[in-house]
Amino acid sequence: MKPMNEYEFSIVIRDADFSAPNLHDLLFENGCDDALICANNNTVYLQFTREANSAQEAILSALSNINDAGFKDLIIEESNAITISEIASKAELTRQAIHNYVKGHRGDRNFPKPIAGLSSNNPLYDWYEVAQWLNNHDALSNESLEVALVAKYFNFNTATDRHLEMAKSLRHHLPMDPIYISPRGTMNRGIGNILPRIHVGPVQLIEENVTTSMDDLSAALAEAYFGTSSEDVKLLNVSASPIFGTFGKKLRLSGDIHEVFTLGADNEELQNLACTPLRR
Amino acid sequence: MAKRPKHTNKHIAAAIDYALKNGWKYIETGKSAHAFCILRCISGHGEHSISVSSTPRNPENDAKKILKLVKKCTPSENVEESEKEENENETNE
Repeated sequence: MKPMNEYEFSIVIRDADFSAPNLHDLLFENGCDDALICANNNTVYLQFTREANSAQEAILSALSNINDAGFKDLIIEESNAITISEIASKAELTRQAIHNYVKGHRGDRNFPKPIAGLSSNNPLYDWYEVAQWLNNHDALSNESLEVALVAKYFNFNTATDRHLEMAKSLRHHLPMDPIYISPRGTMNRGIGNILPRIHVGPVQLIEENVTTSMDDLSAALAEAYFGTSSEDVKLLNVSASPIFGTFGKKLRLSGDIHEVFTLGADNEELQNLACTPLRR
Repeated sequence: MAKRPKHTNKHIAAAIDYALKNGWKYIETGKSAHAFCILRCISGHGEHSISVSSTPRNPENDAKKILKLVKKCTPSENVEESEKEENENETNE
């Protein structure tokens, strides 16, 4: 049997209260006994060290453990922008070492540029970009890189509801252009840039009836995925492989939602634009 | 100081001792089945807390993480000193 790897990652539980007397037991009994339960001013976060075959398995099982404990508003910390100190801590290097990389004194002088906080003394970096760079320079383990990738890819899963709500509420405050969300960042229009990007990935659901129409399947996957059939959410492109196996007597459908949906976009030109990069 | 119970795992017991020596506060958790105690840092830059498990899946991992957090969060004078050192290193380059 392939030996399991250890994956370290943190998950923020935004709807938990650290001072609740049963919090620890609730999390512990639902399988988070491989996490250190911490808080920063009452905001709870769990530092996991989870054994698993892959980072995906580790992170998704941890999210599901936390869901089982009754919490829904979760953020995988590794999906966020982070400071130099945090980079140093994750890579187990000194801040000095990271500063040397940033300034190009060491490495290939191409350390990823910060993405925010430039006018403050604490610029923020995209952890996945940095993780890739450090890994290329043998300064970060493959497991940590895998975690960064999975976190980046799957964080939408936990954040989608919040993002949708946010997008919907913003929509009423903004003129003209439909709100437009592009996960790859290739198609930002209107206020797209200030909206959270939503990444869309593999989904599967159990269906009683075999659906053959692409549109039906898209709708079914979208509903399963986003938990909504609202007309506000209109998927522009979904591909799906209809049969992956059986689950009891029901057919299991799997597929990829290829990353584009809009909120109330009815502009044909936008839709065409959105579909273009996704055709194969 | 009131007598506090000792954690049954030596790594975690040591980590708790280390935290207390570095200005962290020990808080009893009362009736919790799985929480051994809460450690809280009160060094003035936002309050960090750790809820320490009685029987974590891997005690050594937990102990390591506690130590790491405590080292990040030693009382403010130490932090300032280490930052000063870092800045000096930078200007020396």
